[in-house]
Amino acid sequence: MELHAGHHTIAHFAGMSFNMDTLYMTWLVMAIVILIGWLATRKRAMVPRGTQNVMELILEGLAGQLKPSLGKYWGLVSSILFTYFLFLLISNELGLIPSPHILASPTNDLNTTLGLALTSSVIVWFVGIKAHGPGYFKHYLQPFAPFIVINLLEEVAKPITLSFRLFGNILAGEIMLEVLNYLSPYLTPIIWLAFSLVVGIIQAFVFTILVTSYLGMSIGEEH
Amino acid sequence: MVELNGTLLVQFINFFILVAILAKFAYKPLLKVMEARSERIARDLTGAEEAKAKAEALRVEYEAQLADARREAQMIIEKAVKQAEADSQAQIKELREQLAREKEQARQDIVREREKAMRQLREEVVTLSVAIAGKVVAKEIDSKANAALINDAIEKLDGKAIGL
Repeated sequence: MELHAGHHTIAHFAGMSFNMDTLYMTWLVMAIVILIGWLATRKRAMVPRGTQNVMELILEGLAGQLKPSLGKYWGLVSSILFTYFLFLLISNELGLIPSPHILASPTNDLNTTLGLALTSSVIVWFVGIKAHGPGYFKHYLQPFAPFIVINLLEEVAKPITLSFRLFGNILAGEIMLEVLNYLSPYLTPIIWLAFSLVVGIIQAFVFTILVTSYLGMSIGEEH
Repeated sequence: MVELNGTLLVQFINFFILVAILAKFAYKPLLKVMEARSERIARDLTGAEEAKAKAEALRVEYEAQLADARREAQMIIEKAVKQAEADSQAQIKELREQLAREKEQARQDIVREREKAMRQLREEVVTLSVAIAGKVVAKEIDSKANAALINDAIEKLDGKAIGL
């Protein structure tokens, strides 16, 4: 048996290599998310219907969960947090659609998950500076100067744990699906698919809520 | 299988592009609608509360007015009944008085008529008596003494015998 999940078609450009299948899937996910956004806002109404209703449900649910830990900085990062959730949700579920090795989750590539985790690091710094000025970086020296080692380690660990958690869950899910399909076709993979659907939602939510908590920590520091 | 390469950079950029597009075309208009809706709901709720309070106040006012009107109507009815009773009593009294007056008048009329009749009768009797006596006695007594005699007889007669 030869596994397909996790294998990438590599293209070289300007001295760098690119996983083209991951990029195609990412752009597809972006297109789907934008399409959903367009459908939701196409006929905006006071009494929401269809896609608008679903989208409002998601945004309102997320806002209810995340807003309390961000306070007045919510407006600054709400778009980013909404996008993490929507992008990851569609990404994670895309690989579960049965297709002859065409569709895959862009999140089964560490490049995607680490890329997203690094965006979250940048945003955390941005919000930290916005909240505390350049003095924000002083917190690496607290409570004592030698703590900079531990603090920097933590700073590096954050994006790594974020990205590996997501990457591992999704890639493992896809590999399991292939293996189960090979071992006992149809019934077992279907059960695994149902499980993976839930995993996809949970992982998208976990990623979003962890970024929110990192943001909350950066805002709340020095308090 | 797991290899970091240029894809990471592209994904990093891709994410911010997606955020920019969605923020402008999806979240902003959608959140605006949601905010407008919650504002409207809040406004409607406040309006409903106010309308309810107003209706309650009106109800209390109307009930008070109704009670006043009932009381007033009762008073008017009582007054009218009393007035009617007083009027009828006065009318009865007046009728009684009138009746008494008319009775008295009638009695006086009768008395007057009786006296008048008596007087006429007396005069008739005198005239007749003189005529009769004149014819009976003829020229024995002069007519003056005769008249006095007859009058005296009639006076006596008047009191006892005739009883007029």
